[in-house]
Amino acid sequence: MIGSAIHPGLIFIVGGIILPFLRKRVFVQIWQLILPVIAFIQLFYLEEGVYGSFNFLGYELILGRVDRLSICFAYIFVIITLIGMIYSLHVEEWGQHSAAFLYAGSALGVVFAGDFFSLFACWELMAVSSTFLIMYGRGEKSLRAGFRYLMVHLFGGCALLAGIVIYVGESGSIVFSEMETGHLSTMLILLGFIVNGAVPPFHPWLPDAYPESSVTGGVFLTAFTTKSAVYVLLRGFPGAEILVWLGAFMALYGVIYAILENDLRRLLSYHIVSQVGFMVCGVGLGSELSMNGSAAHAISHILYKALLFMGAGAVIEATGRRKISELEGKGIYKELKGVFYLYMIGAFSISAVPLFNGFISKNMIVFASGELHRPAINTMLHLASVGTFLSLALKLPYGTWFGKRKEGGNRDEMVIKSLPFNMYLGMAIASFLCIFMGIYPKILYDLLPFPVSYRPYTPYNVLGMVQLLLYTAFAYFAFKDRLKNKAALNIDTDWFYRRGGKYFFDFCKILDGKRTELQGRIARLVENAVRFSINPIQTMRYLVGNKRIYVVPYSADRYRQPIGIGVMFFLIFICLISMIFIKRL
Amino acid sequence: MGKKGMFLSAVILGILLSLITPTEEAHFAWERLSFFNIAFGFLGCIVLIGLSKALGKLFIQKREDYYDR
Repeated sequence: MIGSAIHPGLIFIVGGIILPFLRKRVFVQIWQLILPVIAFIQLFYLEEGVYGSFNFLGYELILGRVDRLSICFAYIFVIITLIGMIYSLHVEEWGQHSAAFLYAGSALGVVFAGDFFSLFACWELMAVSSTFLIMYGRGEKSLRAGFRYLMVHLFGGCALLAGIVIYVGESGSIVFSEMETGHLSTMLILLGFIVNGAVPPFHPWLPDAYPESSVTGGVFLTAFTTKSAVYVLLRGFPGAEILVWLGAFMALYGVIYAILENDLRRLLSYHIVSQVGFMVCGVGLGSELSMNGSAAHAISHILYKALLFMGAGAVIEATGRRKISELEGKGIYKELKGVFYLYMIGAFSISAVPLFNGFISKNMIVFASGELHRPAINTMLHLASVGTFLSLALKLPYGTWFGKRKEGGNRDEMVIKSLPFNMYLGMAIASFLCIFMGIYPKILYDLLPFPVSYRPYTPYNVLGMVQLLLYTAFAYFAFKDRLKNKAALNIDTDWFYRRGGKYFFDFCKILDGKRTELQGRIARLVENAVRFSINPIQTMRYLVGNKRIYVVPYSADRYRQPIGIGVMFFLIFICLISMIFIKRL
Repeated sequence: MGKKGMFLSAVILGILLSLITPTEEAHFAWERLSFFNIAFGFLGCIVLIGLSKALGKLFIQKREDYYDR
């Protein structure tokens, strides 16, 4: 509870827990739609301020810090929950809906958390609940990917917790506000944040796990984890120089991998990495314009990326295939015309085509990098824009809906299922919002944390963008034969824990073998030493034959020789002595 | 108008646009060059395709069952 108001996240979390008890399908569906609406109304009437603070073990926890930054993220989180729920109305597994509500609720919890403890609690709940959405993809691959996803996030969570503990120990305060980089505590906190933000080299969990999620679960996954990371970066590390370079690098990194990718949703996932790169860069640049740009781009991104995931999910749901190389030349355009047009709205939005929402948000960050005279960063971001248009608006749709039929193989027939109406409705709402925001930017700009003076629709911006994209398309069609969709696996830094981990284990096994061998040798040495001490004579006899024997304890009687031998040795001795003596004489 | 006609008209449109675009707002000197944007789009696209293909051949692309073996 937040004083007189109710925490919107709490509505989702409690609603998600109640959902399984509703039994009847219709009630569940009504519940799915009504919860986001209630949360939205709640949010609409929520005024800025601090709510729900209470004392816990001598520290003051703040569950509801409502300011302009948190409220703009909260709005989009609630809206995307509604869209995602509409898209997944036909899904009968209640577990998915329950997990999605917990996930959305905890993401809202992160956004409103005013202190580190409640932030951390929501952070971990977010990781656990989203894992279910991945594992609901069903099958061995999803389970394994989900497990890897959870492991990475627990690592990030541990780093965050360690950072928080040191930070609280040093400063004595648990208030989550702006921090300085360079201390151990804040660097660990930053590490925790960038693991969730999918910043290379800590990003491979994202393209690894998201494509394995359930078709509907993927829509929620694209929205919350990375964007809540952008939120906490905006809150905690505005103007951190390291983020500028990480972000720009990340924007290009995602694009380069996406060009090689063949799996529909994995390609889209690499573009999440790339787009979050723009936002991270905006946070690092640290000017009001760039930070506004990051928040605005997060909002736009949630909408169009959900739309793209819904489009790709619809193709997967209808055809049962998930790779471009399997769809190429099948001519699914006829059957899935609607999905194609809705997808293209998302693709134009992400490519920052004028009149779509990417144009009004992404360009804020690029413009800010120019304004701050960062030519290298500016060029990298421009290049990433080119790559985004290339792979999402040209390569993916061309291969998926059209494309040439390959000569020879791949002629197997494909059954195309018809899609439920609610999937189209979800996509249509997201498309509408993408275009609406693109045409009427004020609605977005009014939500942003700082006042906006940036004007997106100047002749230079619009015409420049059109030229850039026109000639990217020109280059694509001129060289598209070079860009065949090859069925291949692209190794990424997850190699280090998927393959590298295996090699490490193999190495450990070899070491273990050596250890066992050495241990065996030492054990035999000790055994022989013991035997020797029990019965030296017997041991010496048998050691040469290398046989294992039962050791009989030494007894003087057993090895007593006939007296003659003693006399003989004595006589020989006397004889030798006397010879020496005689020689001396 | 066939595919080639559309193609050609788009290319010409790009060139015409680049001639009439006002560039006072540009932040960097090279952005004031009239063909900068079309050149960047065209070359950027080729560079990205070339770079990713080269990296793919070098070490990124493996067989699909790479992790299953």
